[in-house]
Amino acid sequence: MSKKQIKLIVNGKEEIIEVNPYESLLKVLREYLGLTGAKRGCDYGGCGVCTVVVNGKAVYSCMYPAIKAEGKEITTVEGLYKNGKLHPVQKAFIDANTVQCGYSIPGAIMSAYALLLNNPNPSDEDIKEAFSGNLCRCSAGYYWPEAIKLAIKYMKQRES
Amino acid sequence: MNKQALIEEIEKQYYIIGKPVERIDAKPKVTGEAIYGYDLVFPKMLYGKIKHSSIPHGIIKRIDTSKAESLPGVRAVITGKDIPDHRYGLVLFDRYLIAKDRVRFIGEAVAAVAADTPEIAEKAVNLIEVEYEELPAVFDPEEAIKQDAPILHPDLRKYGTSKVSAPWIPFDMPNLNNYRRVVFGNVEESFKKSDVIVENIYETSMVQHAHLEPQSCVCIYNYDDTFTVYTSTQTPFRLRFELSLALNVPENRIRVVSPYVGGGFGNKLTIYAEPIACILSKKTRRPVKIVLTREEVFTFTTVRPPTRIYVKDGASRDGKILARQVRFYINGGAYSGGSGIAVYTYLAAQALATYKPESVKFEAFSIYTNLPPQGPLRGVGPAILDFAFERQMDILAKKLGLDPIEIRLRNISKQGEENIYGEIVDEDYSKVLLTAYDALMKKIKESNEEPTHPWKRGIGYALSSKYSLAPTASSATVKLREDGVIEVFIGSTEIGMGNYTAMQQIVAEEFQIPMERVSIAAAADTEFSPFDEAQMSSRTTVSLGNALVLACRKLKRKIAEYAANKLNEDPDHLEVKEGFVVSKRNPDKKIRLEDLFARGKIRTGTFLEGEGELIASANWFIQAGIDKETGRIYDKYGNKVFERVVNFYTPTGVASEVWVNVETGHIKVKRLVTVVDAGKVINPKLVEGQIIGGSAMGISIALFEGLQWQNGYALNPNFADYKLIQHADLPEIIAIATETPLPHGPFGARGVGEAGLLVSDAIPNAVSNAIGKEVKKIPLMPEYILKLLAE
Ligand code: FES
Repeated sequence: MSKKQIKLIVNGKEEIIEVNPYESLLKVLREYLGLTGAKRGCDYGGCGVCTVVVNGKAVYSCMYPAIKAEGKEITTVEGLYKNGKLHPVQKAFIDANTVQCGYSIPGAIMSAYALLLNNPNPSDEDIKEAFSGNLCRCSAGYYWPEAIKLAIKYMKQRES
Repeated sequence: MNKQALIEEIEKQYYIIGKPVERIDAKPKVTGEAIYGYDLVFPKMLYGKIKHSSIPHGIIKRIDTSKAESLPGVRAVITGKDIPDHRYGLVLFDRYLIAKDRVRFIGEAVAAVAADTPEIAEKAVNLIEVEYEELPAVFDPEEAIKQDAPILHPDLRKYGTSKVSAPWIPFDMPNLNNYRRVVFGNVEESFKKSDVIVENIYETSMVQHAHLEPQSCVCIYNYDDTFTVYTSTQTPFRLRFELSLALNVPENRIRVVSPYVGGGFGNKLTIYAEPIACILSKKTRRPVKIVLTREEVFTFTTVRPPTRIYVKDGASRDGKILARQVRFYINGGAYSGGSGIAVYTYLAAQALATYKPESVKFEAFSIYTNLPPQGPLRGVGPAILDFAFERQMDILAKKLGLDPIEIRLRNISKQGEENIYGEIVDEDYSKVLLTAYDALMKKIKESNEEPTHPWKRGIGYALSSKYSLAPTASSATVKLREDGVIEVFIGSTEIGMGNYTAMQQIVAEEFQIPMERVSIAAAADTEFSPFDEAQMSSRTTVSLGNALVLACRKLKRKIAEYAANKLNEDPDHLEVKEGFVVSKRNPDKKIRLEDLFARGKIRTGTFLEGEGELIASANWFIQAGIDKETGRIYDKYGNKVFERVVNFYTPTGVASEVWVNVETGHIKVKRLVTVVDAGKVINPKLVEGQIIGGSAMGISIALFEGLQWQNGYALNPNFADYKLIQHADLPEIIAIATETPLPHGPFGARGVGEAGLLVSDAIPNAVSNAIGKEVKKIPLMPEYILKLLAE
């Protein structure tokens, strides 16, 4: 199988890479671009630790073929942390006590980020739905809804 | 410490103990900067892959690796022939790192490959041909002890064992690999006196840890004939020991380094792919990385073993348990699983600590079967046995017309008295139970939500206690750096509990300096870190915390002695606090810590005067044990042979409200209160996180979890078919930490990492209460509930 050149926009930066047609976006992010924030947990969309945002939508990057991401905008957890400043969602995840082993956290943060991108005032049901693809063995995501609420508050503060 | 001094210690205003300090690992974890074992890459690194057995029991007749070897990109292929003739284990040395002649479960390693890419390695593994001669297999512990059962380890009696914790096999029983007995009083006589007898059989399922970071290691064979092993582990030091056995290499030739660990829950307490990667690295002279797939985590690593528990209780009319007789069968799998065979056999019996019947006879049998090996899982034995014991309490209460809280209170081990093993009780069991009860009642009153058909409400409690094992030890080293920062060296890994933060807080407290003035330096590297047993058994806060307090106090004394000359003051009158050494009788006599050695810069650079740095180390160790025949600290003649069986207990009281749909069998946990006695809370945020996390896992185990097998083949080794609790299934959880000081805990603290899991023992009671039928096995699958309802 021959490699194919693709262009991705990762965290606002254009990247040109050669990928094998069977390679996942997760592999490209972690192994070609050194972005290890998205984690690997199962390889079949069962745990959500690989969640990243593609054109505004949360996806399992382990099941997302890299070539399908051609020309698309990808945001990973690294992309939220800019100029030494935590994104409101990241700060909220700390303050809501979500962090234990941390392995599920980048994926959960990206699910939260995608939710708020499309829906700045989510209902409890929307929040449940947004995290339906994320497992967390340390706390089962007990504090995640609280983190969403805090993030909304921090975002409003940032705007004012 | 006497009681008065203890109370004073607890009541004094703390500098930072008890404050909700932000975790020091929070920021790297939310930005994606935290590096886990899974993330590591090295120059020239190869990728390893394991070939697993495809049958549950058999002899390896032939392995053909030629096709794999000729695949381009393959750098090495190894089989049982390439490994030392040495078995490894922690307690019982019963396993080769790759099967040599015989396989005993599906998942066991039979060969391995190192290749340029993971894809090539996978292809190569599929090209390896293995021919087996199948042997009869056995999957049930009570089948495996029958006289005509297939014997998994005919040479068991010849295997090496640990010197300190060898298994006990006092009689011949097929496939028995460990046994424990507790004999207290005379159950025969107590049964005769009993007004009621309740006898039941309980079953628990096979549970997988399902930590989200699969095991991952990079092993490097170095030019000087040493190995460097980067791996995701809860125990760098034990791992080094097991590796040394498996590889037949002295421990001083192995260095184990562990970065952040993406969860462990007991699974990462033994070796898996590490020795295989070591051999592959030695063969190829290149670093070799092996990451397990999710399916491998389910089938190749350890599990919480399925168990069957026979309990017979005799009680008096007023609800006092007179006799408790237990037979506990552990479906232990094909190998000893590191410390697996010790925790379920030896330590599980500590579940009996909570209550004090007049007499007890307990027997635990750990049995080989052709399934994955047993390994510790958060809450280990008590979480399993207390399911049975707490069910018994409710069934007894019902029979006697007593309140479930009342019957428990009538039977608890009382503070200041001896428990059934002879240990002096310093736990307050009634407090955790009553606190849980009150909090739930208040919650229910506040809400006016009432279930309507087909939902039925049930309330259930559990009173339980998580032991922390002993003997155990932790060492710690603290150093005053020339810049005044206190640098901490510990051998503990951060698997998620927040122990680095809590340990940093303890040092900050001792020196009364802000968190930023303390730095946790080389953590979890056997080359530089002082010894620590493992991150397990809720032991770190007490064990390592104590070692740190001792080390800090030594260092403060050293600093005072060193500063005495400079300040022209008697060291006994000097105090080290808030970044200064200061005289207690003349506060003007003081010096900043960073001024102790530094004299500033000269033209050619910087130099330090005097000692340059001050360093102190301490080891904290606790002795413990039992007389084997009695299972207590007293032998049968009444001589005391040990002071304690375990380090301490963490009492836990749970109150739960569930709603059961009597048409579908579905269960909703509506409200949950988990009360854990933390002794003294070091950091309320961390303690709450542990209680909530343990509770969530406890609900998950009670309601959903079971790894299913058919003839040795796993039916659901993936997240689609093995259900774990998710955020949407969670009720509101009220986490409460009570504080009954542990006399020998740092600042009175106890460990709280596992206790929340004991929630799994309350939910079955609530469900039984809702449906009016007695639940006797977990998980509580809807089909099972419907079956009970139809009876
Ligand atoms: S924080 Fe460990 S899995 Fe979520």
